[in-house]
Amino acid sequence: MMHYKLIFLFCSVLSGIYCSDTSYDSISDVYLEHELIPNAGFTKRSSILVNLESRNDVVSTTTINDSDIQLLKQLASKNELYRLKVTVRTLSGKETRFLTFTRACLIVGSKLNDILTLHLDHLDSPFAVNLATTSNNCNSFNELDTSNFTTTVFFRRPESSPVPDTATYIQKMERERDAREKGKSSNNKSMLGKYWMYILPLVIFMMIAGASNPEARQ
Amino acid sequence: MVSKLIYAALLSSFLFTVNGLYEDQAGKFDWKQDYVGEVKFSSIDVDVTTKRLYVATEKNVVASLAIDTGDIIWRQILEKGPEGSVELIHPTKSKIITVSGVDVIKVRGWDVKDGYLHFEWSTESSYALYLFVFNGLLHNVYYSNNLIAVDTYHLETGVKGKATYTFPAHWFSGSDRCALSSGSLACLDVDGKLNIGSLIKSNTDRLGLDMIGDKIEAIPGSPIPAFIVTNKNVEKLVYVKENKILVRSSTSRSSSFIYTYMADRQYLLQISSPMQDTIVTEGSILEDSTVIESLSSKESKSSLKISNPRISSAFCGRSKANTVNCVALVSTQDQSLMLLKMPGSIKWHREESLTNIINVEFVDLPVSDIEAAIEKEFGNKESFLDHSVSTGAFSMFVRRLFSQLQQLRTLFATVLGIIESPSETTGTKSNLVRDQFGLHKIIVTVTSAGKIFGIDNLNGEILWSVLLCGVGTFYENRVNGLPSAPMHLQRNSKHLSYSPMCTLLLKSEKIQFVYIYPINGESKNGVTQVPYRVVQAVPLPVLNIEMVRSLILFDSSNSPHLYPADTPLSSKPPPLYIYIANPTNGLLQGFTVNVPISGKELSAKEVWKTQFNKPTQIIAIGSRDAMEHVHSQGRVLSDRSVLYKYINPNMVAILTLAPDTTHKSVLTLHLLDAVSGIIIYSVVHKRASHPIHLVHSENWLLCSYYNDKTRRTEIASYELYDGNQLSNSSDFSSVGGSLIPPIVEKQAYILPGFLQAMKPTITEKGITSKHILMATTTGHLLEVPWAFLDPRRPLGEPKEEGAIPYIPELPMPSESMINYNKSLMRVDGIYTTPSSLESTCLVFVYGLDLFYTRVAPSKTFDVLKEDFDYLVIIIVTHILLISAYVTKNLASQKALKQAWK
Amino acid sequence: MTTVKSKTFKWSLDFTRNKHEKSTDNVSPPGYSQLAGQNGTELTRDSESSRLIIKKSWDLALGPLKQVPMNLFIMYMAGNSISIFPIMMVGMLIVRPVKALFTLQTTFKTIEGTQAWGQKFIFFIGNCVNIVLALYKCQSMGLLPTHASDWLAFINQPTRMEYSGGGFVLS
Repeated sequence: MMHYKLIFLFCSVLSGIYCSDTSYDSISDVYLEHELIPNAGFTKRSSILVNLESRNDVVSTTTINDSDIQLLKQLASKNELYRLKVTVRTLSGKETRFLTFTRACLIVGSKLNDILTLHLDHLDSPFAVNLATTSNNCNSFNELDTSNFTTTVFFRRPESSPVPDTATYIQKMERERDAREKGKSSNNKSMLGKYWMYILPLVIFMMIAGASNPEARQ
Repeated sequence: MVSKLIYAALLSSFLFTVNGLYEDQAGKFDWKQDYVGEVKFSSIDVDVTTKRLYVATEKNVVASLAIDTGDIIWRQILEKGPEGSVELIHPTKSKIITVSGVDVIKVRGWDVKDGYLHFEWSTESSYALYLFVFNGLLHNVYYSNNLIAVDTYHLETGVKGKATYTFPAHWFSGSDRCALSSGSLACLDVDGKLNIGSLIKSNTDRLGLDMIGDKIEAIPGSPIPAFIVTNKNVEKLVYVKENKILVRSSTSRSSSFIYTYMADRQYLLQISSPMQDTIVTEGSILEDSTVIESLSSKESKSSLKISNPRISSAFCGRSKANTVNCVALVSTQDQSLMLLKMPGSIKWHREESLTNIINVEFVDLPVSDIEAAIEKEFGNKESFLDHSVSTGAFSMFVRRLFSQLQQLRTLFATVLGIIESPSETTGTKSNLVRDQFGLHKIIVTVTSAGKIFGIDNLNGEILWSVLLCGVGTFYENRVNGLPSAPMHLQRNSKHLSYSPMCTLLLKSEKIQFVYIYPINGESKNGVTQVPYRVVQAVPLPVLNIEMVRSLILFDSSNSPHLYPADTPLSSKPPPLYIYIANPTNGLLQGFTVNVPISGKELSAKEVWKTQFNKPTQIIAIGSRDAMEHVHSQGRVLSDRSVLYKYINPNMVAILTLAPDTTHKSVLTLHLLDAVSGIIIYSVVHKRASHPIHLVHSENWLLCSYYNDKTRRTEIASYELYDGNQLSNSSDFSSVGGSLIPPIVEKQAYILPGFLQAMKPTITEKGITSKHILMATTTGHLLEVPWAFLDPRRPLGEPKEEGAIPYIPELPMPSESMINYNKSLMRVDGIYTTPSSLESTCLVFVYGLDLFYTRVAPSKTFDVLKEDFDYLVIIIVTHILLISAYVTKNLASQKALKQAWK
Repeated sequence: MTTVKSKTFKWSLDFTRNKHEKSTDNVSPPGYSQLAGQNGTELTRDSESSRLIIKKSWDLALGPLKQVPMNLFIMYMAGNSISIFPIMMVGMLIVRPVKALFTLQTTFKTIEGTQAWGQKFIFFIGNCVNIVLALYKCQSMGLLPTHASDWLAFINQPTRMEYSGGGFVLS
């Protein structure tokens, strides 16, 4: 749950950073197919309607039937990979297919709570889809009591690159120059005033040494 | 006070970056070799006193070489790419004139003695077909409206000569079926007719001859119009003399060169190479084919690797004994250049293909026999699994006696000066054994000419060379169109009873492999073919039972194969994931591969797929060096807490470039986990364009690009951190691991220059701090500490101790130019490899010049200094020992005396 | 003769002696009395010596505690920067009490009596206080490995569970 919160926080921060480019061909829905028997082909899981304009992350719940749950449990017990084929459709009907995976036991272990991250490029078209689960618990797959897939879809956009920070640097240099000029006038204390903390212990030390010396001579 | 502190910090930061070289250290650990490139045009200086030859090369270099030695006297480098490509050279008495460029031709005159530029002029000529010089005029031949037009310019001033004159050109059949020689244009007709017309004067007759041919070539540098017409592999020499076309049949496949002598007689020089190590020359009188004995010879040298020799230029003279002798500059298909003296021998020979290195590997040398015997005796089971160590006390004793006898024998041999090769069994040179610090290695380089070299890294001597002839072609790098040669060191020199093995992947109808034994260049098993097309080759993390690092080969249907096939592995490999990136369509696919220990029946399954949108192109993939170790897992902050590094061994950086309407081009850096296919981070650089360089090491990345907006080179620096908490697990798994994305620190710096190549240093254990080697277009090799490129350089108060305050521009102090005054031009790449000394990293820079050096980023903390005075320390310790002994005696005597008082 | 006289006076001058005696006798200088030094000590020998021993041994036991202010002053003077002199000072601060603790038995060997136990205890406490002070100094100088960064070098690189490889498609 802790991870979930962090992910949510991170992604919501990211989705706040929005690129200026607006794509007219925005995403309309995400179609999910999963593979429950290794190498046996993909079967439909769900289709999630997405509205990119609203800038909200989408949470969707789908129920899958009992036989699929059993297959999923088998997949998890054999420690196989759970593959998910994602087809992203845009409003104009353009389809892009992606493939992503995770360990099947993680899907079961997180009680069918998964996170789908859609990576968008600078023109807001998707180029990658990643699947993650809300917990990385891989042991308790026998306690699965739900048949509802709760999918959270996040959008991530690239950050903008750093630029050489010349302005701040110049400001800093100017500040320093001013400080130096000011410092020159005020920094005219006598040597004793500046370095008393070094001179004092020396004097004390010499006094102690001078006091102890005659005794030592005896 | 603060400013003072900052200055102090700055000063101290420069203290450790100053790693200048003393004058007497120059050339001690480094060497540089100058090259000119594959020769395009050449000319031999007729003047006997200067004894020089001039070359213009494919690398856009004009140079003068000494005839006797082949050394470069001067070298001038023209513009890169087609703007600087040399089209013509013309020697005059005091100048060598070059014509270069494609759309804008530039004519330059260089001083023959020192290569100074005397004059330069340029003119636009977008349609130029041929250029030639006659009578001090540059003739520019072009084709327009069924006419061949010739413009003339005064060669030295560029003043346009007489009006353009034209020829009717109905017989002109395109530049690929025509050739120009000595101002005469020859064209092969479609109906099997050869037409030759002179372009020098405006009113010349066209000569015609019935001749069927596929190809026509001009003989370079011929004083009379002479061509070679090839028809179905039969070559015929066609030349024009006194307005007549004469044909002479060539006897063998050879390269011809015509030389004029005494105005009326033409001599024909021919050269051929029936075998790789032989070179045959013939000389004859052109008209009557009389063979001149003094010019016919057959040279054989085992070190030669010649294919398709071609005479670039020649010069003949009559000796006192009234025999004709010639010198000829011969270039070969493998881009080597040699001077042939006829009669006589090959005077010198330059390997110009080393200017086109496409892959480099440093290979450790094997241990010496004595050390091998010791290793066998105290057999370390881990690294020397390949021989059985007997454990019986007696046999151990015998073995010890034997090895000590052997050591004694070699000691005597060296003392008595008997040169006895201690490593006769391996058949290599006796000095090619591993040294204590692993500083002596062999540089194996693959050149685009198809020649592989083994170079001694200590002195740059070429130890061996292999010419790949008729084996296959190189793969093509689809990002930059250059050939690429995937090479894998499948077995290193650590395994005593096996020789090291290097495998080169070549493309032909069936994909081929070439094995090379990298110590002496022998190819033991030779060439292997596999019956499928290989699209990806990845070395396994485990060795097989023959100590070979097997390769996983993906064929075009994405099914995996093991190579060498059917050899069981020494242990079960961990789960393996392989990704394949297609640069043109932007598709990235990840596969999981199941490799059973038996090495049979491999299976792969596609697990992730990423598709970049068109027209995005993947231009670079940056993965960490496989040899790299990260010693420190975190970074200490000023409050003594730790910022843990995000070190994901499976992370790769993908650079994509997309054209954009508003920002010209957009460069995006994606950090991808190659196992799970998860995009860890992406960042967009707007208005970034080539040259782009990417460096990925430890937990940081550097991306340099040209910023079109600000018109300067910028380096974006990224660093990834896990945070202040250490993840408690001791395993790193990419699948279903931590979901928290790493913290990315970013900063950008300005580089006052243009980069040609960029590479981080690497050391054995990763304890030594990292420096970045940057080759600039000005010929400098800059060693910049990574601390200067650290994205955490503070703008305000320092966040950690020793942090250098942020300055946008990177310093380029002359002390950190590790190639001091040896400029490195046209650098193609930098290769770094660790030595056995933790402090030292070996550096090899290739391009037009080869440069090798070694760097110690944190100073040589593990070796004594070069100028360490051993004598003084020996004397001092001895004096101390003696005085201790003497004073001990004196003290006891005194004690005795006092006891008697 | 003179000895009898001198028993009654603290000192005396005898000008009555003749010249014969002077030449034969070993003459003390004027004002010197052989017994002057012995005077008074013999009378209070037992009580005085035990009191002195106790006093001396208390001095010994309280020594470390008396050093505390001095040590504090040295610590303040040494500062928190790490250089050779502060390090030497801190080294001395820590080594001296440790040494004293190790030689506790030999130091108190000669000391007996009813208060010996308490004295030993006080001595021990004093040295402990000194050690604690020195440790505090080490802590404030950052010499104690109490932070995560001090154990950074011992963290091993996590083992890789999966291996990856690949690159551009070969064509």
